[in-house]
Amino acid sequence: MNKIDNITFDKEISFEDMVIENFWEKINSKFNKNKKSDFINDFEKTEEVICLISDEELPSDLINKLYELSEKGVRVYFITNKAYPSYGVTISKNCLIRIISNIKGNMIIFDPFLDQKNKLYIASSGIFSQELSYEWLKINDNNTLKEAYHYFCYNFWKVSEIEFFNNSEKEISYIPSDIPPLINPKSYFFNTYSYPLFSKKIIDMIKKANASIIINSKIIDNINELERLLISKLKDGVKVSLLFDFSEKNAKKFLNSYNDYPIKLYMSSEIMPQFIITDDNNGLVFSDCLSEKNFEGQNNIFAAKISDEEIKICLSKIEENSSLWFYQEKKTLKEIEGLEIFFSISDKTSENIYVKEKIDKPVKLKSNSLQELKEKIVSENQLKILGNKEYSKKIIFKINLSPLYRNEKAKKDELYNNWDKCKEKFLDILEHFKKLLEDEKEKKNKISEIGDKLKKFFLGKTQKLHELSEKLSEIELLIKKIKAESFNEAKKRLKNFEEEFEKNKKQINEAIDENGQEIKWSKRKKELNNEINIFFNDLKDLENEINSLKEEKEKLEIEKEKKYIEINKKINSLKIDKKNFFNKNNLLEKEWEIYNNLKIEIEKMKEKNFKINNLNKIELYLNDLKGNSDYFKNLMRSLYKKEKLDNKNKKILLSYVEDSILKVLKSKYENKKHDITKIEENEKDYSKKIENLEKDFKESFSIISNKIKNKESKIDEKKSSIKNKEDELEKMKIFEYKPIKNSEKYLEKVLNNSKNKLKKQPFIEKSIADISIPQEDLPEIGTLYSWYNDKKKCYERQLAIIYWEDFEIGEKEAQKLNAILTCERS
Amino acid sequence: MRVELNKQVNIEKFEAIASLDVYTKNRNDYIKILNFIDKNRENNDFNDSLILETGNEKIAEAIKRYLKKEGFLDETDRLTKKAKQVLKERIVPISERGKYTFWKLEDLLIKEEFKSGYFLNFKRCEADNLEKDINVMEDEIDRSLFNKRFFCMINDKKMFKINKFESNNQKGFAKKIYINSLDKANIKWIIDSKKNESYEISLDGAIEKKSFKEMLNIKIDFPIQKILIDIIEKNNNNFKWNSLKKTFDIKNVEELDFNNYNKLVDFETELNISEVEIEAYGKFDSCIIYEIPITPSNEKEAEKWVSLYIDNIVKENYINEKDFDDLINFFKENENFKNYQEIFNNLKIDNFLCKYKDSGNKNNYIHLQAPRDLNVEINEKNILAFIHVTKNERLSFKKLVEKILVDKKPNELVFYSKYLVKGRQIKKFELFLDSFIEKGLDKLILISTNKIDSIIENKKIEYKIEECDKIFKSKKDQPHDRYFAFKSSNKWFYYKMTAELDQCNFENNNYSEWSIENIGIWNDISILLIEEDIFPTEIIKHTKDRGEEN
Repeated sequence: MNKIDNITFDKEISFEDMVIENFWEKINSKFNKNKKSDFINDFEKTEEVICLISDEELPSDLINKLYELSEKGVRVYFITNKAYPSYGVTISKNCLIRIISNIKGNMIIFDPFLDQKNKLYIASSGIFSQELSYEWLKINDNNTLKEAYHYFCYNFWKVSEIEFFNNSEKEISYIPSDIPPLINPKSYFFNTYSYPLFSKKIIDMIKKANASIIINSKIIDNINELERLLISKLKDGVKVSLLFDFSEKNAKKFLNSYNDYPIKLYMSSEIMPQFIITDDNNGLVFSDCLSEKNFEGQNNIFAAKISDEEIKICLSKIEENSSLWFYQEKKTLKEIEGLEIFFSISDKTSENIYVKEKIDKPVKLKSNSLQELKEKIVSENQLKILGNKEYSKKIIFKINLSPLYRNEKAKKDELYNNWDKCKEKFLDILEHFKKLLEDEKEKKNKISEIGDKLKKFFLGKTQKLHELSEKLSEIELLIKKIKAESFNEAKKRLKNFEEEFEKNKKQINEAIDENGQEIKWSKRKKELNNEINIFFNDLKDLENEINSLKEEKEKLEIEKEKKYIEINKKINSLKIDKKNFFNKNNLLEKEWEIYNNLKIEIEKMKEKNFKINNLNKIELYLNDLKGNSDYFKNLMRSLYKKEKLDNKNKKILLSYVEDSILKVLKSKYENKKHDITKIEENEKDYSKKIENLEKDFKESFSIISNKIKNKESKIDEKKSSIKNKEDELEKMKIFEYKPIKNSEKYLEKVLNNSKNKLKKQPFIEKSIADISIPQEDLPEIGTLYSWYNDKKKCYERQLAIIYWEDFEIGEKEAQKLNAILTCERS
Repeated sequence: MRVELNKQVNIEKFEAIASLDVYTKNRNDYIKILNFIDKNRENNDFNDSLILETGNEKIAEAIKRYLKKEGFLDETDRLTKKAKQVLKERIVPISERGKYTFWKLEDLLIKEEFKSGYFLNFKRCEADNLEKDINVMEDEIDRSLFNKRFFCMINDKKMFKINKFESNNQKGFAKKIYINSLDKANIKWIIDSKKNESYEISLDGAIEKKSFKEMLNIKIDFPIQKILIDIIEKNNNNFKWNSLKKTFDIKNVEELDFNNYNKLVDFETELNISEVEIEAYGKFDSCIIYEIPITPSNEKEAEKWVSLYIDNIVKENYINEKDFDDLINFFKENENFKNYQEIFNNLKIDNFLCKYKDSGNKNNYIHLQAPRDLNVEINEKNILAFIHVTKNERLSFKKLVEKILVDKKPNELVFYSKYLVKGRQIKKFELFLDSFIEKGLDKLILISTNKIDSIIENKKIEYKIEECDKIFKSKKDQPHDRYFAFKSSNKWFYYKMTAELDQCNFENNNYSEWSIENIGIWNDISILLIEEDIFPTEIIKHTKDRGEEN
């Protein structure tokens, strides 16, 4: 089997017509610059004094040279921008160093006041990053030297702030002499805030230029006046060339500023004297670039006028420059002669690029289809689009063409899942029905009591259930083949099976139900007959109990009568005894009573306020008393008239009753009192006995009566129950089957109640109608994938194969499934 | 010579029974009645008017009795001397008697004036029984010494006079209590040989933790100069008094205590003295004697003297050749170096440079060499005119100014110099100014380090004195040289001088007698009329500012 894999082959394309715009072309250096400068010579010949300005840390070789000279007695005066630690234990021991933080550039004067021997050199900032001697420009004019010395002295004494001598810094607070400022210099110019001579000089030179202006300055800031002047000169036809520091920022800045004018722009990464030359014969070399700070006088920058000879040296330094770049607007690759180019436009690379004739370029491409891969199809445009970043005039592409692989994000198509789900659903339903069939078969065994009728019914039904099992097996065979056609047939059969099964199930359930009802009916009938018999026996027992209670009651009544008569006899005898006693003692029973009552009332009168009610009672008692005098009646009458009995009358009354009546009665009865009282107490005791007798009998009778009542009510209840049961029995003469509404539930109850409980099947929502059968069949070879194509905003199918042998069938299947044929990923 | 002598003394404290007069202000009742008596005593109706004044005859008599008792009236009811004093000074002496605590100070220095000590304070103390207390006073003090002497209480400055100390004891009348270590005083005695006889003696100290200060006005007959010379010579062998020159000859100049080298040009020094004892006045604390006149003792010392000064000036400063010459000339022309002129042949700038170079004194070498190496003179093209005064030229200030002005009448003058410090320098500037004033000057701006209002304020011109530190941002910005500018007919003329006006010397040493007409003998000086551009900017601003004001 041939695995599908990458194919390699070559194809040559020409890029000579490629147009390149806005770039910097490197100009090949024409001269060898290894000329020895006079600088070191002059340096070493110094006899007395060196005046040095530098805005950067001196290199160690220069430090050593200065130190050697100072040890020999040469006085070195040095203005720098800060106290570099490297000077501490070296030149600061002998050389007088002063700090001017904003000094810019380099200058050196050897022996300023020795005619013929004095020399002036100027160099740009950054000089010490390169070879020591070369880029110092010697200024030969003596007047310039004098003015430079004047400038140095003024700055040394007047401008410097810190002195650094013998490795210690000291603030300067004293000047030994007044150095006059350098007024109206002829050939040496400088900038300070209040005195921008240098800037004025630059502007003046540009203004006066008629033919050409060349400015070499590492930075030329967008100084309005300067830019405006240069543009106006360009408009007037003056040739302007600007040379500045090689940097992407500079490259862009100048193109932006002077894009519309015929200016010549150069860049260089080398440090060389910075200068302005106008009309080929006016020159000024300056110590630092034309930055805004320098131009405005924020920095202490200085410049010297240069002679024609010095102008030539300056220009030659440009030609000798090994890193000079010239700006080109447009060229084809074929036209470019330089080897190196540089872009400064933002969408291009800012790296330096070497132009080449022909290169091999390995390229990895992806084929668009397995068909293209098979036939090695790659278009020329496709290769040109790859670009020519190498800037080669011709490119031989070493093509490595890879197959169209199935997208790595692609997942197995949903069709597989749909088929799996469909089959699973079928199997679930089949399994379910199998269990249901088993359940139906089991029902017979789970019924505890089976009537004959039901026995006969089950003989026929068992066969029927077997047939249904056979049908399920046939359906199962059908779904073993994953094809839409056979699944549809299985679904149809399953539907028929379901109907038939339900019909049989209903019949079984009803037969079981009827069997159950009949057994229940016969049981109830038997129960009722038993209950009626029991009740009749109970009735008889109750009636016997009532009769015995009634007999007990009669006996009690007789006993009571006997006791009553006995007590009464005793009472009567006591009454006779009492009468006899009174008679025997000539006493009156009535009088005895009045005497006792009067005593009580009189006591009351004494204790409480006398009231009419008391009077009435006394009067009543006295009325009953024989021989009562009229006096008392009169007295009473007079008393009646008064509403209130006053103390006087009260006393009268009391004294009358006590003295006239009670005294008499007392004498009569008091000595007999004991006997009378004794008789009366006996009499009372017997009266009490009669009362108790009555009470006891009354309670006993009541208990027996209640018991009888209770028994009689129970008899009534029993009779009513017997009646009800007899009525029910009457109704149950013949058995009738009543199919109940929810036979299933009922049946479940019946079967659960039985000893062999029917196994409950899990409820599955199976609806055959709901089964959805996929419309597409699965591919015969390869694997079908799908993924969401973000670019096309739609889902896309890929059929992935591994071997070239599957390619033909794969193409057909892919077409059928609306898929792209791809190579499977390993 | 000047010295401040100090000594610590203890304050004595004692108790005594005494009668005092305490002088009290604000007693208007006394003043009023004494005044009344004074005015009316001679009138015939004096007694009647006194009764009227006091309101009652008995009161009038009682007042008279009291005033007689207190010594304000004599037997004829006339005011006594004491009463007249009261009216004059408005201070009333109130007599009192009791038991007091007194504080008293004794020292040799005041013994002559206050024979038994100086009373500082008194305080009444409780006494149960004065007569009993009198018996226990034991210490003997010569009571007559205090009598009728005024003292001033140090706390409330009340005057008091002790009239009498009382005692029944034949031996004494006071009871010395104790010397409290906290009650101390310092006696300060300032002696200045320039001031002939007035010596300031002051006290300061504390009594019962309350501090006090007191000036004592005592005249002492004291041969101060002799005693100071003795003290100096006794303490330091390097000093030898030269009675002819009235200075000390210094045997070895290097042994002087040099906290300030200016003493070499001031010819004055100071000296620490650890022990001072003056026979009549006892011991004093260690002290410093200032303004001791000094000169070199011989030629060798004289050369060392100049070298030492130059070395130290050069050590701190860059010195240009002109300034160097000026320094040398200062010594050369000084009276103290009159006999040592030979030495100046060796004191040239090159000699110093060689010395520094050979000895490896890089600092001094560079301070002297750098101004020579880095020097730019004014370009001739910036000099519009000049006046040269040559060495030994005889010229008055009036003539010099006339040469400057020619026929111009000056209105305003701006003068800048850092060196108007010494009396002679100031005087020479005054002569220069007076010469301008004579020519009509009416406004002056002086920019200097020294405020010298006193010499200008009585001149009839408008003037303003500006301090260099305020005009210039930093010392470094202050021009080294001397400049002046004057305005005439609304035009300013700018000048630079190559040296100070001090270049002029007069035969008469008493500079207070110099006048603009006096002929001076000059050293080299050039007065250059220069372009405005090279005139110091800060000074120019001043002329411009004033111009704008006008």
